[in-house]
Amino acid sequence: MVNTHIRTENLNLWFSENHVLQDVNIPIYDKKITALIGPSGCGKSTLLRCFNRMNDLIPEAKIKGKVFLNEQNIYESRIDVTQVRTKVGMVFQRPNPFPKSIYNNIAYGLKIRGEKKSVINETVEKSLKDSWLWDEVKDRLNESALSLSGGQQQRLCVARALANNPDIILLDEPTSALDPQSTAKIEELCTELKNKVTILIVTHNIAQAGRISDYTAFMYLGDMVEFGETKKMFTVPKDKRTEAYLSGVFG
Amino acid sequence: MFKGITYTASLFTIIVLFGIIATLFSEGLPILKHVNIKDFLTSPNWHPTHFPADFGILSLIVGSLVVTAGALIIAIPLGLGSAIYISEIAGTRSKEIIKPIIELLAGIPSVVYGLFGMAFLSPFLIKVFGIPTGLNAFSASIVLGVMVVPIISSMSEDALSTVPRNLREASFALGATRWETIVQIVLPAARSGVVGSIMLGFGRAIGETMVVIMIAGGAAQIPKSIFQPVRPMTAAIASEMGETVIGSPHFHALFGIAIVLFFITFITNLITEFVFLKKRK
Repeated sequence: MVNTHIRTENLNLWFSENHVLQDVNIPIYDKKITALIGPSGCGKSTLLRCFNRMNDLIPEAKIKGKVFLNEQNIYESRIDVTQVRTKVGMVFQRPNPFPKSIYNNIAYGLKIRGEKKSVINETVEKSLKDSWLWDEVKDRLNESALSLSGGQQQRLCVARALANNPDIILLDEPTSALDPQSTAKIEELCTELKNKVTILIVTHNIAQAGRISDYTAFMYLGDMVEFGETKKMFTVPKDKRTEAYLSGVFG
Repeated sequence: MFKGITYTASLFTIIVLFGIIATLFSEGLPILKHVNIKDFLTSPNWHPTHFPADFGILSLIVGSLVVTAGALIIAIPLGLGSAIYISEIAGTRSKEIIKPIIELLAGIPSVVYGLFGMAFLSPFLIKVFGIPTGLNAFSASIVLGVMVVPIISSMSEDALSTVPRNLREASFALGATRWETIVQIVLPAARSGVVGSIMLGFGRAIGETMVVIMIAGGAAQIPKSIFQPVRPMTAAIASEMGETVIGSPHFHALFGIAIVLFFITFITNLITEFVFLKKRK
């Protein structure tokens, strides 16, 4: 039995005159990994950023339609955006740790909500353990996060998101800047994390979607072309465009 | 060829710098024949034309520090505030209007600031505070502060703008508000540039001469309140140099003041370099 965690209803988005998302309807299932795939510029990252209202930061963006998080439309006017963003964590394409210590990178989200020191200490340790970074950094929590390798930095960004205790984690091509080993580690981490949280991952890498996701959504030119179980879609795609993309005809 | 020209240019600059420093010391150090260094630095009595003359420059140093501190107290919040507004809050349009206007302040000659202070600010302060003179440390601080605002504002704004967008996004994505993001992420990340701008503003304020000659009041005394006139080091050097005999003790004393001024800015720069900018890496 799967529950729908997020769903969109006729979601449209424009950047100025550019119609980037066109009537997108998609369910994201609870505690599953859903992959968003498609060629560059198809709107997959933009769609991802609708789920934590990151597109609010772009003045030219105009959004119509609804995004339900636990059946609550997060684009309603009385919604507190910062609340949404603590519930929906995000990991970006390039590792972007703050130029602070490893400890403070993770403590930041907790500090701004005024958590107690003891809670912060506990959460920092737990988040680092959950992102498989603890053993590598436990002796140097006060060192700058920028001293970590790229793969470690990305796991730190995962830990930072986890510290907020989110229900959902959005990953925007989290491994595109990483070497194969670090990539494998992030992928394993995702499969581990889905026991606790819903994961939505944008990826350029079709094989990656095949390896880790339970559901896949294929987007093309702002349209949600096909959505379904990854296994099914990768063996018998319904749409010609999906088939062409998966077999590498374009991309 | 090109390398040669640029090399010569940089070499020339360095030679000029050393020439200035050499002159400063060769003309300034002889004052120590007339007064010992402790009295020179710690006596508040500056009576260079009396007989016997007093060459204590403490009141001049205090005068400089008071107006400079006052200027920074005014300029840091204004400059940093406008930098934050321009870089983080303003839309593209208002940014395009406000930024050049603030930078225009930097292009106004200091003597014009001085005139503004004498003709407008000084009578205004007399009326508002009921003080005997409007030419004092307070009014000089205000005018110097306004002069320093564009330096702090435009340099800090540059520093804030170079903070990568993805750091702001990371902060927002963690549920931080705009204010939390600015104060806890953007400002610390731009710290070295912001501190640099304040230090540059400090150098500008302590080195400024025309404004303090015109507005600071000119009294060589340690002020008991900010509404008393002061005589900053630069004002003493510039206004007295023309009336002194070359090679006289007074002449050497003025160069001695210049050495002190040089050390103050030099040490400030060193501290900035080592304490604040070292951490950049």
